[in-house]
Order: sequence, then structure tokens, then C-alpha cells
Amino acid sequence: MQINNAQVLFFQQIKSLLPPHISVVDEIAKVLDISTDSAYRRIRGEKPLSFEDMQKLVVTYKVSLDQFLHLQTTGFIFAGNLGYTSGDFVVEYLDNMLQQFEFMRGFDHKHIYFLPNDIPPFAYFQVPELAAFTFFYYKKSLLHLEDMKEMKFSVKELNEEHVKLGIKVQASFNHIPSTEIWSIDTINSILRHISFYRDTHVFETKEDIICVYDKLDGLINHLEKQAECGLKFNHGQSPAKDAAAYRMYHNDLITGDNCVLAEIGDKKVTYINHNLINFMYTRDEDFNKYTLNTFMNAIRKSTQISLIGEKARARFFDCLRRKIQVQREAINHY
Amino acid sequence: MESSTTQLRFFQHIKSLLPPNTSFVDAIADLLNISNDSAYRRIRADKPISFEELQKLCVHYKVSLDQFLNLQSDAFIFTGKLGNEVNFVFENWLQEVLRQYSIISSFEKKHIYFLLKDLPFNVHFEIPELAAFKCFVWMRCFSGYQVDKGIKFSFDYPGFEEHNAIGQKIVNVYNTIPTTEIWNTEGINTTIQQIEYYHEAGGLVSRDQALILFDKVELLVNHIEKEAEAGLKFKIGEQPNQASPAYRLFNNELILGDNSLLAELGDMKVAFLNHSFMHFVGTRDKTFTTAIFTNLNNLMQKSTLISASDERDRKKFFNHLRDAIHKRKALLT
Repeated sequence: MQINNAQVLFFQQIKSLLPPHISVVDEIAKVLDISTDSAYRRIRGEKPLSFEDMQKLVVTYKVSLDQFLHLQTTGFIFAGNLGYTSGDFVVEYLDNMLQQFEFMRGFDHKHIYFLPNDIPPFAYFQVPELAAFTFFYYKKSLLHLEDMKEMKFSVKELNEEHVKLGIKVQASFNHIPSTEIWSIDTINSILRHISFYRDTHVFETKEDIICVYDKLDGLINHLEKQAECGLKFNHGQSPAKDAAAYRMYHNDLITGDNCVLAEIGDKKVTYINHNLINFMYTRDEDFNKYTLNTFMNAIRKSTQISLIGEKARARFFDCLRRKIQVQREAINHY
Repeated sequence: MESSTTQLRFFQHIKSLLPPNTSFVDAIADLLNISNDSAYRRIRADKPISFEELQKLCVHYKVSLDQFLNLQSDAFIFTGKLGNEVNFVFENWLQEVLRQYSIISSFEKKHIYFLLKDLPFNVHFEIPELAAFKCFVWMRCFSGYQVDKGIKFSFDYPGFEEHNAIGQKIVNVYNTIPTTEIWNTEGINTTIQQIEYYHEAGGLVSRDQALILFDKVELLVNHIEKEAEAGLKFKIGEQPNQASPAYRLFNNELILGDNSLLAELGDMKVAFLNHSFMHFVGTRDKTFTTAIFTNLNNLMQKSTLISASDERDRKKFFNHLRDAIHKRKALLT
């Protein structure tokens, strides 16, 4: 019997993409709709894969065959949502994020590199009022949902399900060591959203605006504490013994693009932000290697403000707080 | 035996790549080193081809299996060049920008939509001093670019003439394409901060150079204002004419863009996403480009058009940009 070595390697690649607790045979049998015996024969390379089977597998696991077969192309496969179903957008958005973080948590080695253009959305989830404001902005101004047209924002109308799910996502994220490269402009987006809604009378009351600024101040203070300890922990709590590492850098030379690079086991995944709200990802090795080099290059041009660099850290966070304060003073004219 | 329709399509695709006078079966048999009968069985999909055979066929006929197999999936194929991480050639990156704009320009019906977080990178080539500075910054941002970190900025650094010559071509081609840009007053921050950064970073940019650069940024802003006023694109120092393409500028006070670009080429659309600072990946995927286009239209509806009309808002917008430059310049004087 002829063993198809490339086919064996192909299945090994798929196996490396699965969380450690998942049985590759069961997975393949399910995707190809065959018995586990038949799946075994294909995995061992005893029975050649048909084109249809191959297609099902590459589509399901977003594997690049060009890369696998070392074909010289300049193509990269990206996958991701372009929109959301008609259900609860927030639940779908958070569920999706939770799945990604939980997947990463299953691996011994994991690390997230983030070059934010605005405050990372998962940072807001630990502060229900900020999470609600962010989702309000997503639905009203990015997704342009019809029922949001005349809607005003109030911190009193928190959705319990969203709050719980958001905290769950944040808790999951806090188990993954991460490196973030911020600039003093990273806070501008949310400040711009607040001032735009303030000027266009989208807030229900003046107290709602004050509350959002207060909560933002609180979040910045919490992030400063995390940076000081170099550890991730939940808002209002202390770092646990097994808290994940938090590395923060300040860089005003390069504006962020919300690009994320995740190291998961010995694999890497790059997430690119598009259409302002969606993310698409690729497992392309060359692309991810390049993205990691880009992060390392950015880090070389940045000042570390977590664990060390107390003076630079204090200056950085004071600058963020001053920006909030300048805007807060404008509420008097509301 | 059940035939694989995908395998049949794959061989049909390869056949379409061969010159008409070539015997398809002979070519496959020769390449895979099998008999003509065996080749027939594979072409008819009676016998599945192995990974090794697939690799030989794809390499020889330069077929992308990703493109071939993912056409009907929810994955998107993006293309783009990352460059060599060891010896990155900046000129190649500039040439690639020129090549992409030239492709767009070659179509009769064409349009570029730019959702910006910074000034459009190509407009800096309008002014040689700014072109020199931006090239200085960009070269240092590319991860593979080898540079002596201590080298100070110069308006005529070695290689500038070549960079500027390509830059001038980029400006000329870009100015043939009707364009819609969506940005806001924060779009100027990056360039200003880069001048400050290199001035403060060991004086790589001297105080006098920084002052010149701030003046040149203002000159560029003034030029973009003139283009917005005319609703037409033209080179700095020149006047618009009948052939000048349309220029639409929107101010969106709420959102900051992501430097993504959508190009219309005839009836086709291509979306380019910015990544790793100055690289772009592009896709022609219809579902993806439609989603980007829909989003752009939504954003335009929520933005203020400040080109060709609305003089009051336009003045306010550009005065805000000039104020930002003056404030930072004052810190140096």
C-alpha cells in the first residue's frame, strides 16, 4: 500500500490548529461526513483525499494549500465576518470574541500583541457603563442600525446579559499575557465619540456624560495599575498569583491600526481590523512572521511603561487624564 | 466510480492555460511521469491525484490552489508583497505603489475611495522636502530595512533623487484618478508627531529642519484646501484644467479612518487594507468589496462634504489643521 506522505503532513498541520483536547479523528470524520475508520485511513495517508474532501478541509480550517505545497504566490487567506446576523449583535460579537480567547487559553504558550488605534474594546467590558456606551456607538454609528436612529444613550439602561458576558470576555482575556503599544492619541477615539454625541444631544442627560467621563477616568487609573504591576487583573481587584503578564509601551511615532498578533502554541495568527468594526484573520506563516517583525520594530522605537519607567508611565497616564479633563470642562456648556 | 467534479474543473483550468496546439494528455503524462492512460484517468477524475502530483501541477502551471478552492467559501484571498525582511528595498515598495496606481489609472472608469486616519501618504510627494522626510520615516518603519539608526535627516540624503523621481510619477498618476477622501482634523497628527519625534530623538531632525517641515506641511494643507475648493485634483503650483479629475473631501467628525482604500476599475472593485504601517493587501472578492463600499457610502452619508461646496465648514476644517501646525511650531520657536 502506498503511503501518501504529503497527505499525512497535511493532516498534521490541521491537527496543530485544533485545541489540544479535541480528537482530530472525530473532527475529520465530522467535517468529511465519514466514519472514524475512513477518517483514520485518510489521516494515515492510506486513502487519497478527493478534491472535494480537500476543499471541505481547507475551507473549514482556513488552511493555505499554496503555503503547504510551497507554491510561489503572493496570496494570503483571510477569514472573518463581514456582518452580523439579525439577532443580538452584542451577544454575537462577545460570543465570537470569547470563543477566540478561550481557544487561546487552551494552549500553554499564548501571547497577544496589540497595536491599538483606540482603547482595546475588551478593556471596556470590565466597566459596564463604558461597555454599554461602546456598543451603543457600534450599533448607532458603525452598523447604522435602523432602530438606533432616534435612540439616546443613558447609563441607566444597562443590559444585564451583555454586562455578564462582557465581564466573562474580559476575564478570559486577562488570562492571556499581552503586549500593547499605545500612543497619547489612543484615547482620542472615545473622547471624539463622547464629544460628538454631546454636541448632537445623543446623551439622555448631562449626568450620563459625566458618568462616562468618570468611568473612563477609572479605567485609565486601572490600566495604570496594571502597567505598574506588569500584570493583568480585573477592575477593582488585586492581581492573582497566576496573573498573566501585561507589557505596555508608549509610542507616538506610529499611529496604531488595531492590528493584533496572537501567538498560540507554536502557531501565529494575525487579525486585521477592517470596516472599522470587523476583524479578519490569517494563519499565513510568512504574513505572521512579518507582522511579528513589525511589532518588534515598533517596540524598539517605543518606551516601556509597564513594570519599569515610572516617570514615563506617570507622564503618559497624566496626559490621558488631562485629555479627559479638558473635554469634561466643556460639559458646563451642555 | 464517482468522479470528482472539482478535479475535473481543476484539469479544465490547467487545459485553459496551455497553448491550443499542445496535447493536454501528453503534457500531463510527461509532467507526472505516468502513462497516457493514467493521465486520462486523472483528467477524467476516475483516479484521485495525490498531493505530490498536485504540487507538481501547481508549481509547473503556476496555479494557486487557494484561489481555486476558496472561491466558494467565506474566506477571502488577499494579495500583497511583504518584501524581504533581511534586505528590504525601499525603491521596490515605491515602484509597487506606482504600479498599483497605474493599473487603476489605466481604466476609463475609475475612482478611489480613501478612508483615512492620516494624510494620504502619496500627497507628501507633492513637496520635495516633505517627500524626503516621509521617506526617511517610512524606511525606518519597515521591519526589514537596514539603516544606521544614528544617521541624521537630510533633505537630499543619498538616494533621495531616485525616491523623489518615483514619487513625482506617483503624484502624476494619482492626479489622474477621481478621488473621494474621508478624514477628519486628526488626520494631520501623525505627520506632526513624526517631525517632533525625530527632532526630540537625539536631534535626528534639527530645529531648523523641523521649522521648514512644519512650513511645508502648512503649504500642503493649503494646496489640499485649494483642491477641495475647486473640487478637482491638480499638482501644487498649477491650476486645474478641463481634464482635472474630481476631488471630493468629506469631514467625518465622529470616526477616525483606517487608511483603507477602495478602487473602482471599470466594473470591478478592489479593496486595499493597510497593515504593518505602510504595507497594503488587496482583494477583488466581490462580497468583501461590496461590504467595504456599503460602509463607505454609509460613512459619507454621515459626513460633511467640504469640497466644491460648504465654504464655511471647509474654512473651519482647514483653519483647524493650520492651528494645529502653528501650535506645535510655536513650541520650537
